[in-house]
Parts: sequence; C-alpha cells; structure tokens
Amino acid sequence: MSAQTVGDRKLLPPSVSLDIKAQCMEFLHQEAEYLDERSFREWLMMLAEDVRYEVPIRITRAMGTREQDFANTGYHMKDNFKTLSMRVERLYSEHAYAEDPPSRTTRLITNVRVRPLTASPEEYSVKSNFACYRAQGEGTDFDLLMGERRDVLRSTGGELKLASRCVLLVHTTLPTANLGLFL
Amino acid sequence: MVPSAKNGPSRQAIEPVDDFLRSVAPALDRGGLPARVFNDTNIHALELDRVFARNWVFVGHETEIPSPGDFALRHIGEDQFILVRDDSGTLRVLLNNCSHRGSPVCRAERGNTTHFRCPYHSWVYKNSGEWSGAPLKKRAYQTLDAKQWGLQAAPRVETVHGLIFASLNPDVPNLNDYLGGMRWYLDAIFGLNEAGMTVIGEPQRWKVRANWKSAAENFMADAYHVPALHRSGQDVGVFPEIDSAGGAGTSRHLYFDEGHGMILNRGFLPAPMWHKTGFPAEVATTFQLDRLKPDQRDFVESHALTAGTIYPNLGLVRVPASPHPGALPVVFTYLRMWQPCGPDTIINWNWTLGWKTASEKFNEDAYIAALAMHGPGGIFEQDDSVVWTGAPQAGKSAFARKRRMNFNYQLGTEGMSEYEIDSTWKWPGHATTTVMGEAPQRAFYRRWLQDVTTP
Repeated sequence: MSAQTVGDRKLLPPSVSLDIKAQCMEFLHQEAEYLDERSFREWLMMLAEDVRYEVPIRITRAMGTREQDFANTGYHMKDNFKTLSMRVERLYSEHAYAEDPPSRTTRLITNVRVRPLTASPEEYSVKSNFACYRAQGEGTDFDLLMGERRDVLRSTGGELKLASRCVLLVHTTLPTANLGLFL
Repeated sequence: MVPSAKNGPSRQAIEPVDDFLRSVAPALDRGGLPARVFNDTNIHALELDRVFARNWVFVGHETEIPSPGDFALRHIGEDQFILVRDDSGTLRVLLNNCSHRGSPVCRAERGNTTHFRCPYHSWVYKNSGEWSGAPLKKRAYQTLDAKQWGLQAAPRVETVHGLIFASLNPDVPNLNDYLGGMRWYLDAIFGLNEAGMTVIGEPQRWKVRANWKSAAENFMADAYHVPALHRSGQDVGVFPEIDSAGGAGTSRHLYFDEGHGMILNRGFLPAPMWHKTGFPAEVATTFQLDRLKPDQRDFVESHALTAGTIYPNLGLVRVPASPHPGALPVVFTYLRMWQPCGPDTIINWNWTLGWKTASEKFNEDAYIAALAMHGPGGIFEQDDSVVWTGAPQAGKSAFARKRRMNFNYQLGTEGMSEYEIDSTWKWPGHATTTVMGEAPQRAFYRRWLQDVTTP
C-alpha cells in the first residue's frame, strides 16, 4: 500500500503544502514552549489583535443530539485580546495567588491537521489535539486537561498569528480548580 | 481498652463525633470554630442526612427547562436527581436510580423526553416519574402495584422568582417560610420586573478541593478577604479601589438566625450613568419598581446585593466589574451551588443570569465580564479555589485535633472592631453597621450545628 492510497481508495493530494503545515506546527510548538516556560508576554505577541479565544461548555446530551455536546451557548472562557492581556499582566503581578506556586505544565500538541480556508487565502484552519499536565507545589497530585483545539492561524507579512481558538475539552465538569492557565 | 468519654478527649486518638459536636457551641461563643468541622467523614455523613436531606436545596432555574419534557441532571447532597418538567408542566425532582435495581435511568445531562427507560431490564417511567411499564408486562407483573414503583420523587418542589428548590423532607416548612425575611430581599433582587431573569447558556462546573461550608460562609459575608486575596484586581486595573469592597468600605452585613445572609453595598457606581438600582439606565428603564412594596423600593434605591448565601449551599452574586482595564464596568448576576463530594471536595455550579428585558448586548457584555472576573477562569475567583484547600487539610490534621485547633471567628466580637447591629434598620433581618465582623458566619455555623446535632 502506497502512501497515497488507503485500501482501494485514493487520497486527495494535501491541500496545503508541507511547508505551510510545517510552519503551522512550528507555531503551535513555539506557543506551547512559551506557555510551559511561563513566557506569557511572548505568547501574547503570537496572538492577532482581533483574536477570539473561547472554551465552550461541554455537556452529555442524549443519543441523537450528541452533536450538540457543545451547544456554544455557555462558555468557561470567552476572551479577546484585551481580556487575555489583562490575564497575562495579572500573572506577572504579586497577587496572582492561584499561580503561586506556579503550575508546572507540559503541553503535548499532536494530531495536527491543516486545511486552507476557502474564503481567506491568508488564513488556515489548524486543528490539533492537546494534553496539558498541571501540577503545583510539592505534591504528586496533578490535573490532566485534554481536548481538541480548532484554531485559525493568519499569515501576516510572512508571520503567523493566532486569529481564533476554540478549545473543545473532553471534560464536562472541569477536573482542575481553576482555568488560571491558557490552553 | 476501648476509649470512653470518661477518659477525656486528651487520651483518645479521635474524640467521638457526638462529644466533639457538643464542644462546638461553646467554641462559637468564644469566636472559634474547630478545624475538624471542615474534614470529618462522620460529620459529613451527618450533613448529608441532616442538612442536605432536611432543608430546601437549589436545583436549577425555570428558564433551563421551559417546555414539557425538558430535563437536567442535578444533585442534592451527593444524590443525583432528574429535574424535569413533566407533560402537565409540573416540576419534578426524581432520583436517577431505577426502582428495580438502581441503575441510572437517565444518562444525558440535558434534553427533552416523554419517558425514562432503564437500560437494565427496560422498566419505563413517564417524565412525571410514574411507573409506566416493563417488557412482557402482562405476563411478568400481573399484580404489580404500579403506584408504588415509580421513581423516588423529592416530596417538595417549589420556586421563587424562577429559582427552583427541592426538599427531600416532606415536613419541611414551605419555601417562603424557610426563606423567611430573605424572601423580601429576593423580591428586590430578582423581582424588579415581571419578565424577570433568564439563565445564559449552560452552567459551568468545576472541581475544587474545599469543604462546602468554606464557600458558603465566604459568599455570605467575607468582605474582609476581598482587598487581600483579590488584590490583583486592583493591580491589573479592573477594580481600581478594591479597599472599598473590604472592611474599610461602606458595605454592611444583613443576616438571619436561620443561616441566610448577604453583603449589601450602598452603591459602587457613579451617578448619573447608573440608575439607583445599580443598573445602567437602558436596563433600569425596563424595571417595574411599582411591583415592589414601598419599603422594598426604598431598599432597592439605597442598597444593592454584593454577595450572599441561602442556607445551605446556594450563593448569589451581583457585582459590577470591568472585563479589562479601560472598559466601563458592567454589572452581572450569578447563582452558585456548592455540590458536596466528600468532606474535602466540591463541584462548583455556576449560572450567569441576564434580564429578559435587557438588550442582547447588555447581557452578553455582562456574561463576558462575569467570565473574566468569576467562574472557573475568573481572575478573582481563581484565587479562592486555592485558599479554601487549607481548611480540610487542617481539619484532618492529627496535630490540629490534639491541640483542638480553632479557627478564628472573633472579627466583630465585643471590643474587637467598629461593628454593631444597626438598630435603625427598618427592614427584615439583622443589619450591621459595617462589614468589619463575622456575625453572619457565626449565625450560619449555629444553624448548621443545630441541624447536624438534631436527629
């Protein structure tokens, strides 16, 4: 079986170049590094000024309506550049007690899928799966946050920026005491 | 040798819970509360039986289930119930365990249905909870008394201003009597017009390592912590004069011996941009204040809720905040339920409310401000989630028990601070002159103690 076929079916050619896909993956990896090493101001620079950052609420629906697990009427977070900037500045302040001691995080970003957005040639739909391990202080307890991110990355002057992010958590009830971190 | 009470507490590894509870009232009289009440499996079992299965507990809002057949899974104590509007429009609160073998009959958290069918043996119940049938019914259950085998239903369900409460105690006083003077204030908080308030989206839920009472007493009256724990609100410029929300401000306590209480402010907001109700003019013009009694109207035009607790585990908040520096403050309202999960863990449930008569933009702005400040991601509330972890740690500490460690509840006791009952208060409840005290918390724990020590 060649790389271009699955069984007797032929795969379509990649709709974005491998170079574009590599750039998008590099963006996601750089972003995860900034967040894990707590370089929040540097992370903020990766966001477009009209960024939309949303974490919708998931609930378990009945058979037949499961596609509405995310009804997109309720959110855990619904942020824009200004609210995200406020959150970042707080993390550099003396009184952000939820992050004192700071979370030790490791983000794994996988299953990256890049597609062009037909309406806007400079933007790409980038889906990825993530696992974010979070622990604080001396204990061995940890929270593991997981899910899928649906991002739009925008190419501006040869540079990618995050234009929107929707974080689809696997969780209905959040298994962590607060969302004092970025996903 | 089996330790007995005669040996005295110092010679026993762990004092029996009945003896321990007898020591709590004298401690409260001295402005103390033993750490052990925040983490003890025996006390927790008493709470499930004598607090949560005895009183009225908040289960949801009418606007979440507007149509016949609409349902949502909810909790009273640690038991899971189906909150459902049946075909006749009646609100029911049904234990989510089949009467046959206990399997959950409802596995979706929200939805609409005419019946609940157990997957195990296909027993079927109407959305009113009545037993409706089973496979081979005529051959298998020829003489079954269907009336006896419906889902176990909460014996009492009542509402006030759209808030749905249920009680597992058939002898509980009616909801209005249970709320007592708090009902008068709920009119002034939620009854400002006939249309009322509506839930925005699904409630957020998140797990916090805390005892439920830490949350209840905090929402009820803990203004003193605001400028300390939440100082970052001032640091980042969204709450510029945070000291005004604390002991140094002009707020006061309002509380009841039944365990309910609130922090009331006398207006955080600048006139003339804001109406005397604490809302901007565009919303205030939709209020029908003539629905209120004249003295309720006087109250609404001079005071506003900041935060409060309806005993045992419902929180209310209405505060203004800017979602980011430079933005105008917007006032938001939410309901909070602390679902106990063992003595050291809670699931927070959070419902943000909008006015049905307000513009979509106002309600959306309020929702965004609420998420930025409160809820799982809110910059204020993130910090509460970490400080409340300490009480259960001390509560199970062997050393703290040996030392009979009491937490300090002396704020506002005789000679301690400028904090008195305001004898000029014309309206229901005990009002204090400032928030530099802990009288509501002590009243809450006295009510709680009465419950857990009464079989």
